Amino acid sequence: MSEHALSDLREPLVTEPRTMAGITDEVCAPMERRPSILWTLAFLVAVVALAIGVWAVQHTIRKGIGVWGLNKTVGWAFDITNFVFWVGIGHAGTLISAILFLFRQKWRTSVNRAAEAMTLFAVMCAGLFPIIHMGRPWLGFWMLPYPNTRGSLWVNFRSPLLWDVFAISTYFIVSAVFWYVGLLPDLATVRDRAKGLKRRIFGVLALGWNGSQKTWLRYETVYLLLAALATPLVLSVHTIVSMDFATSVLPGWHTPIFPPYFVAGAVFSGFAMVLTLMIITRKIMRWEHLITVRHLENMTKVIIVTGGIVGLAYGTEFFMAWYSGNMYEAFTFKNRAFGPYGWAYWIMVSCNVGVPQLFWIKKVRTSPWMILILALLINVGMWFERFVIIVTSLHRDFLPSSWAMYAPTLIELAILLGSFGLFFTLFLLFTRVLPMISIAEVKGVLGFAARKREAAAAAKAKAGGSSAPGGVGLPIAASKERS
Amino acid sequence: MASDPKYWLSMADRAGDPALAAEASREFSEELPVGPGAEAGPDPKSRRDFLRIMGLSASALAAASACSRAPVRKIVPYGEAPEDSVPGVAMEYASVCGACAAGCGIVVRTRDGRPIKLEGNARHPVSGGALCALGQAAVLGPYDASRAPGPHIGGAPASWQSLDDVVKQGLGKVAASGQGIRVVAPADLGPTGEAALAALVAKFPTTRRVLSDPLGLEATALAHAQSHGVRALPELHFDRARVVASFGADFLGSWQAPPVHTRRWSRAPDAARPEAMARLFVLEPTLTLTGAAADVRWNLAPSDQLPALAALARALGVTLPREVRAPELAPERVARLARELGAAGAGALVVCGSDDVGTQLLVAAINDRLGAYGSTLSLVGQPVRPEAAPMSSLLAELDAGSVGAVILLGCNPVYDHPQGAALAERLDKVAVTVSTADRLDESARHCGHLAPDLHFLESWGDRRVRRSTLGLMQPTVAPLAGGRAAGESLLRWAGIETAYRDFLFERWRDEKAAGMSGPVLQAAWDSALEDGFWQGMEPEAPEPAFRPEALAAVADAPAPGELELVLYATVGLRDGAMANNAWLQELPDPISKTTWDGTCSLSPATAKRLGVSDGDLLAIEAGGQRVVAPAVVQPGVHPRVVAVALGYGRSAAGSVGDGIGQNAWPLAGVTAAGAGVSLTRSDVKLSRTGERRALAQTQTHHVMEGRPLVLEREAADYARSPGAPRRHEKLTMWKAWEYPGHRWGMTIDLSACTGCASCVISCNAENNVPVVGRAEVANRREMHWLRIDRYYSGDPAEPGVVHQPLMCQHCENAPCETVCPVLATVHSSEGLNQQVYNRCVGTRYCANNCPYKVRRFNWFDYAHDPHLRLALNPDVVVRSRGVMEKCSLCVQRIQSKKAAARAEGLTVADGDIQTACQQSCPAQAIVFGDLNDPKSRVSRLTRGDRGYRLLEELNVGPVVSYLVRLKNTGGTP
Repeated sequence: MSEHALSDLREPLVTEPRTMAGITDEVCAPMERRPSILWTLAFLVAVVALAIGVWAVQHTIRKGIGVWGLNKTVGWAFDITNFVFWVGIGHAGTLISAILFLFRQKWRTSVNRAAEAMTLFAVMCAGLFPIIHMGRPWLGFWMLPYPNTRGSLWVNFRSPLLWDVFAISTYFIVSAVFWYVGLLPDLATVRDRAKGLKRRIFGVLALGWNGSQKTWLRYETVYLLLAALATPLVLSVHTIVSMDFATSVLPGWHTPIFPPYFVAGAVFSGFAMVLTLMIITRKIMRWEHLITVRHLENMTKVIIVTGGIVGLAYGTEFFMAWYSGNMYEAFTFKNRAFGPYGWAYWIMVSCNVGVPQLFWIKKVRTSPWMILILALLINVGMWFERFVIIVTSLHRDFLPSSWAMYAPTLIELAILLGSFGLFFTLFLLFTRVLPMISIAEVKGVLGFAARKREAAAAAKAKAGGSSAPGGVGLPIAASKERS
Repeated sequence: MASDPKYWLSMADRAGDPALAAEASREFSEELPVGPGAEAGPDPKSRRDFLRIMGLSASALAAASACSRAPVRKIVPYGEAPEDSVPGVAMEYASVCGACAAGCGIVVRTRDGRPIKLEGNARHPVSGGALCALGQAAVLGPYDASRAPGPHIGGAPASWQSLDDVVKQGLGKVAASGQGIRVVAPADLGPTGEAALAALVAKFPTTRRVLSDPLGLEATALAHAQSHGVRALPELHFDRARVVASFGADFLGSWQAPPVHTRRWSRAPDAARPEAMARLFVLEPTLTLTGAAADVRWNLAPSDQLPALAALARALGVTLPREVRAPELAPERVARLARELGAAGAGALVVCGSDDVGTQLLVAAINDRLGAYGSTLSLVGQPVRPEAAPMSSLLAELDAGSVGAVILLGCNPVYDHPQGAALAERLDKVAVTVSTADRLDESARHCGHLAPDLHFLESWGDRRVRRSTLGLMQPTVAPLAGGRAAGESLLRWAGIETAYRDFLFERWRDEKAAGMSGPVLQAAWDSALEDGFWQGMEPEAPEPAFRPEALAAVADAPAPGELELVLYATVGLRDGAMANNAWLQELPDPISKTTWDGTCSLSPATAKRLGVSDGDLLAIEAGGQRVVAPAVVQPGVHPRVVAVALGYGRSAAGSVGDGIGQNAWPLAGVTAAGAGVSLTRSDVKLSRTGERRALAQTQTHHVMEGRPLVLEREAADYARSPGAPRRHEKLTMWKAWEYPGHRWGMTIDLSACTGCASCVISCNAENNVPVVGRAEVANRREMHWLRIDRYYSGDPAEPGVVHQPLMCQHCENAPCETVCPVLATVHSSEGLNQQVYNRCVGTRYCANNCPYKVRRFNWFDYAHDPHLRLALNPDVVVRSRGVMEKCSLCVQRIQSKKAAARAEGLTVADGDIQTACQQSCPAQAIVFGDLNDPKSRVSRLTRGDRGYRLLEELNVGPVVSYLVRLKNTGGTP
């Protein structure tokens, strides 16, 4: 990638001097060495969780949805909560890779690959739930508008569930293509370093990448176009997911603010998940200089903004419940906060509105461990947000005679666990088989940093004194000297 | 061409006879015996051929498809088709319901020889088409796998011949030795049953009758024997009454003949004249259906019933020979009752559910004083009940050793008598003991011989509805379990070999058709069977006079206890004889909404005092007996009362009914005279066991939260300003749907509905609604397509109660339809919301989006229950696992009536189509019809002053409407 001229006032994106070859070696290293004990342990845990989930799903399909805790009043609970949760997680990946790319946010380079991988895996987890939540999942293909011999019988284009099918599948396909195209130069790098079968596999995957000027030109054009194509999806997917609720008649669901509210919530939860993964990865891989505190800090700022939008949405819902004068709506929100599932509501509010406020404090948002804890809390809060919206709206709706309580069974908990197992199994495999950081893109921002280091070192030698503390930042004098 | 000569068959052929040509063209064709005109009676030969051809092609198809996964099963065609049977066309038989002693007229619908649905016989002179939940559920009876497969001797299967030989010999020996033979039987066996018993008595003169009356209903008859000289239950004309006062008689729910009472009490016609609406006072210890329907309902402790009646009697001017203590019932309440009853005079009616003869005597005195005899109640046409000794005398005789044989005739006293255990012990020692139970029930297990009776759908029989009117019972299916009518058994043991049907016919001929013979007799008999009853001339006799001296038998009331026990019959199970019926077990109690359990109800105040909450297991101790039952904190229970449900705790009912709850009869008191049983007592102890058993309730929230769901108005107020409830202005930019032809709709009169749940069971039977069992009901997954919501209002101590039957509302802008991704629920051109089961993938979005929560999901493979399988309605699809289902407004009935009308070139007339819930509604609260026809009843009622739609403001446009409930409280209670 070309080197961009950046203001000297900007902080470097890679904080330790590295050569280009050094970056390649570093990023490719996990793929070329034997797995660490920590990785093996983590992988085992993930696979066991996945196995438990697979068993629970087959049990559900064999016996019927009755093995869950649903009832005549609460027809969705953990299933759709998990679905919306995982779809939401996916959003940060696309936002980082596409929108931040279009906005020329160079800091995205070291996190976009992993974030996009997270998107794909999260969407895979999400995509499972609409299928397994069906009473007859083996007939799930009836949701697709394919030519058939059933006469006029087709799909219902008025149903938000059908929109979901299109939205999620489009999202998955575009994300996957975008991700794959972004991988091409790195796949070629891996190919060139590998021998034997691995070389052949990566040779095929790299699609004959030869590093020529023409290849780069086309690659960058395609990447830019795909970024533009993926951008609207960030907004459309969760907008459509929110319509599963917004187009219903149920108080607590029938709310026009759901689309922006859900998109903000998705980005909010997605960034929390990216932070969780990145903080762990940079620690284990010793990539603190690639995924710097500055990256983390930037992401916490996104969280503050989206968390604020989510908080505003919570408040708006309550205001509308009162202002509309609709007794059903008013009851639903009273019941949300003070009914039998009030505890879930207060977990949601404290995690999603309370916790992000701590990021106003500089010390908190620059401390990776603090960020990790808060990000985990936000993930918990966002899971509960979906649970609150789905279960507390359903369990007490219009006719009090039908009011009922819902409690998950062990099977449902096992399926939730299994979805995390699937996610982490895939993510851990990803860390072993593909370059987790975009080598080509990081190299693009490396030159700047490397040369500044050298200049700084030279200046330091000349002055014989100390430069900026901690090796971060660049004295103005040094840069002036350069120009 | 000359080389191609045209051959001719005959001269006619050659001449080109058109008749012959027509014949020749039909030479190898056979008309199918289905389609228009088939009902009119197809040629039997062609039908037989049709079956043969169908059988052949079916087996050919089966052979051809042998490579597919489906197993090959050969079907066997009828060798000789049964007369009148057309495959796929239902046959209907008029008969009499035998589920309880009321003897309502029924129409049995059979398909391919199997009864699949019972409905009320609209022509019946007493029940008039009403049928209760119990009667509806009885259709499962013949398929009950727990019935005995045949006679048993000493617990081992035997042949009828050997059983008859042993029993005859045994009875003969007992009679010869001068020892007694005792027949324990309910009060009414029907005239032919009585005749058969009389034959047995004639053969063995030491035979005496003992009364089995678990619910103490005989007290009323015994009181009338003393007060009017007639041992009979008076006929109650609620339809003629302007003021009714019920003292603990749940006449709409479980007392005597509820569907008959409900039909007569029904407010459906009253609502047209709200100014003249009758008023119902109910004074009861625990909340019943009757209390729920009351205009004025007051709590009354059981020990206060007699004093309250005595005070009322005094206030009305009856002189009592004995002082009765003053009641706890507030004097102003007594005064109001006396004033209103007195003002109504002959239009007043007082009923009482007490099993105490003295109390019933007081009621008779009050009714006599009011001049109600001959007006709102009448004895003159009523069948006289036979003399019978109470059960306690049998025990005494058994102890004395003077009885050598006991025949239990259609009763189960070991289970349903307070001294059942003592009886069981003594029965074991009696030389000859026979039970005619249809299974090895609790009592039959202590009898040496079992001569299983037939189910009433398999049997000939009759019931005396009035003295002049006989209901006729005819078999609708060949006996499925190897039983024999109990009456026939009696005849055999009496040495009479006549077939039971002939015996019945001859008895009927002698009584009703004396003097007829030949074709006239045959025609009369056929017509009686066709109608299901034979109505004679009503006797022109005056009501028997009241004998004031009978009041000497009225004793003073027992002192009130600290805590009083009320044992009550539930609406679903009554005396527990049908406890093996899964539909009834799963039927929510109309008041407490519990299923699959015998509960004990406490008032909220008492529960608070004792620290008891729903589902706490309580030990109830009385008379040295202890019963454990889960608590229900029930508004409307007298604070001093604990009410325990009867009918549960069967140990030998069968695979469904065994071990559900505990039997509460041992707690009952025993009386030496009268009905022999006392279902209330003042000496009861209640304690917590510390354990819990979660209730399986279908409704757990009991108030409307201020929402306009069931609308109620005071009748007088409504009469002054009959305005419609607030209706919503609709602004829309969409074009309205078009309904060419019909547009089906329904309306439910909340004034009339008593919540008796007959519709719920009727719907179960018609639509193959699966039973899910206790655990699944507790998971809130019952499958009922039609449910009855019950809400309380006002003071929990004496609450107001409303019922609201709720089924799919078939919304015009149905929220379920837009959200289904696969179009499994769609709108018909006749306004029905249709569920396409085989298209459904089970996303449950439709159920979530249903504001009425009437959609039911098949969480498991519920449908394939072997017990219920044979009673399935072949017109309705059986739903598989993972699909949604719901009310279809009985679309199969709509289609069949439309087809029948089309075949005759007519259109369906208003009232032709009756949904299953509507058909048997004893209160006639449900009306179904075409909303496109402005003159149809449903149109007129929906448009009328009381019509409103539930949650109309959502603009989903339900086609089911409700009529505002009118209540006639007369102001302050």
